[in-house]
Amino acid sequence: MALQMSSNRIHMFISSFIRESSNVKDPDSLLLSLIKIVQKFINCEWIAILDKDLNVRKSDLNDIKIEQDLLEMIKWSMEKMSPTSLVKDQSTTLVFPLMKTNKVLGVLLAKTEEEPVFEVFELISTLAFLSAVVLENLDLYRSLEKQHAIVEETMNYMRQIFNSFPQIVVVLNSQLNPVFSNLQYLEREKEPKLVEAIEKVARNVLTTGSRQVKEVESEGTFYSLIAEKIEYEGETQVLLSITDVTNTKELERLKEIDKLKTDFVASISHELRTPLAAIKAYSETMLSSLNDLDKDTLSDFLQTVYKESLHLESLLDELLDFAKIEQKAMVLDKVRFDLTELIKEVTQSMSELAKSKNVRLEQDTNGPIFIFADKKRIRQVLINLISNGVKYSKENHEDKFVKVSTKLNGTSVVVSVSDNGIGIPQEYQQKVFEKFFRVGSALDYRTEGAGIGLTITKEIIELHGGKIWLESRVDEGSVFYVQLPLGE
Amino acid sequence: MELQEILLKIDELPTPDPIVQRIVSVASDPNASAKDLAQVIKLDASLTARILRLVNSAYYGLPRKIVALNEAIMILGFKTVRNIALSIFTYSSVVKNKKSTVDHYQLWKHFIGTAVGCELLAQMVGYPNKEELFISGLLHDIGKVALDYIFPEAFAAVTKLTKNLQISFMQAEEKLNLPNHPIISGKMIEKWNLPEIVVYSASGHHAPNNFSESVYSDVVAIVHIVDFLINLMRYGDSYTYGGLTLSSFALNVLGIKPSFLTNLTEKLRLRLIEAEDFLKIEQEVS
Ligand SMILES: [Fe+2]
Ligand SMILES: [Fe+2]
Repeated sequence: MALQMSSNRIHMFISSFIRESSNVKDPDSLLLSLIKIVQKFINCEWIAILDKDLNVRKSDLNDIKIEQDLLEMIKWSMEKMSPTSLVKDQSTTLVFPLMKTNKVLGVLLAKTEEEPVFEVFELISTLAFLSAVVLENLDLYRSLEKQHAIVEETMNYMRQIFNSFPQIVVVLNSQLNPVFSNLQYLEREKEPKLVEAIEKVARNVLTTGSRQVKEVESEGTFYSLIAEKIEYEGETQVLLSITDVTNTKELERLKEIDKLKTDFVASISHELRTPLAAIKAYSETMLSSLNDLDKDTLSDFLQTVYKESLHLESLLDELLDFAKIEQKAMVLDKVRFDLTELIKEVTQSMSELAKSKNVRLEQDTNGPIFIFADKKRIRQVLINLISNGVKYSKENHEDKFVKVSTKLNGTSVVVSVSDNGIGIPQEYQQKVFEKFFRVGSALDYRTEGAGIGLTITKEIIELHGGKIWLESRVDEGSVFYVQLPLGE
Repeated sequence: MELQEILLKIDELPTPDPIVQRIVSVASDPNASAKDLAQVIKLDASLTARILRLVNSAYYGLPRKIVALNEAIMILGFKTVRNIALSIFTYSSVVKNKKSTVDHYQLWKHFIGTAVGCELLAQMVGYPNKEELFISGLLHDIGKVALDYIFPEAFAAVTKLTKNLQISFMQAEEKLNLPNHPIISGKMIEKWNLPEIVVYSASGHHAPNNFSESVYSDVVAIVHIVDFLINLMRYGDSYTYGGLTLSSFALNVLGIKPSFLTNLTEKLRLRLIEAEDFLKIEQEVS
């Protein structure tokens, strides 16, 4: 009978504990409900809960007096982790340590005038045990929340650091979706070329499992991409750091120009030295053997000296023009003239040179084309393009030609100079117009002159508001197109 | 010898005297007060004196001297006072068995060591009912005492075998075709009307793995671990000289690592010094 009653009370007690404790969110309200439940089972003068430093955390009565002998028993109870009770002047104070796995969190005190039976000790003891479990879980929950806040803060801190980087930092998951990135990435995530490059390089990392490096140009900026595999929560992801290397590229270009300038000085000295050496040698011979030379030989020698000095002059002119371009000092002297006539004149004057190389010079024009331009400069352009065609003809080819054609196109004319020479490799087709560039030494290109002819040509054409471009295939020949506005 | 025969003989064993039996039953009566329990104990003056002596021993380390039984019960709790009474009774049944030549003092030391260790380990792993574990430890090998009572020759044969072959008590029992002592321990504890927790933790102490699905798996694990440690520390003598193994299952049940055992051993050494009064229960009480 007694046992039956007891199990009913335990059932009641457990269910009220669960009801009360399932809704608590903080330790204070748990302690409050703990006090309420104890009051249900035993009539108490007061109930108090002390923390482990014996400060009153919660009680249903203010100004609770804890006397010395009770204090001693509380300390004993906490040290031995055993509940106890102190009888004094008709009343009993029950002492229940709140503990969890060898750790005391506090103590529950209940002062009563009733004489507690065994069951009361058992119930409160169980209650103290359950409360300690809930309390510890609440503590755990709070420390978890705190930890969460710390993680959040750390994330912000890291993000700030990443945002201060000049580099773009982005992490892609295995589906190539960004899972982490800094501001620099967000600013550029709409650039299709960059995004495409990022995905491509990330895919390579995922398939090869090794570090990948790539360079890409997007919207006028050069980027260097470094992608690496990282593991996060069992997933393979790709970390990319992307650096804007545009300035580095510019520097590289300036360095290249510097090198070209040095090469240019070296080659130009050589070019100037050749005619000078001939002039010097012939003059010396004539001076030392003036009496022994007959008139024909002398005339022949002088002819050579004259020819070489003309060559020297043209080289110096070229250099002078180039200097003008460098200083942006070239001025056009425009007149109205017939372009067809000029082409005819130039091809005739160059027939000697062409013949010496066994090259046919052809002109394919239809009637006069009047143009308002600097005649002298346009002549220079024609000479340059035709002489290039002759110069870069194939040495042992049977039927070599250079052909000049014109085509009217509304308010402009396109002059094309085509040949069946050695051609220009794809990779040099843009560079031939650059300052100091010579397809020179590395290739089977026999070059003469300062190597600045095409640069000057381009400059002259552009000063006229025109355009120059080329089409070429190695071993088949080249076509240079010059488009000029007719003017006036 | 058959288990059945032994069990029949168990009935002939001295049951706790009526006062101890009443102490056990009052200490588990939900409606009993401290006064009710005190009144039962007071019927035996010698028991009362011995209880008060142990209450004031270093093992409980109370801040002041307790002179009244009622106060002792209020301060230490019903179960602890019951434990003391049971210890005193068990001591008498172990040590005062004049029929046998076994060193009963060493066996008693094994009992008290295991009891103290079980209460300590229960507290360390946060088990809420550590007082019951004291009794589990105290009585886990009580089956050995029963054997000594009923067949002192058989007990002597077992101890000879364990010593010579360096094997465990259980292994010797099996060799001699004797029923296992944990089973007899369990039967005896049941007869004494002690809680089921005590019955199962004692009867399972050599086979914690068999209790994997049981609600008693943790208490069985506690007794198993402490029995192993006490034997290892050579505290007393349980007539087991080898062949004892520590079940890793028991460690897992309690969620403890082997390194925890070092810590437990250190604490247990100190506790055992404080528990010395339990070894000299027969001393005259002044
Ligand atoms: Fe055993
Ligand atoms: Fe044992």
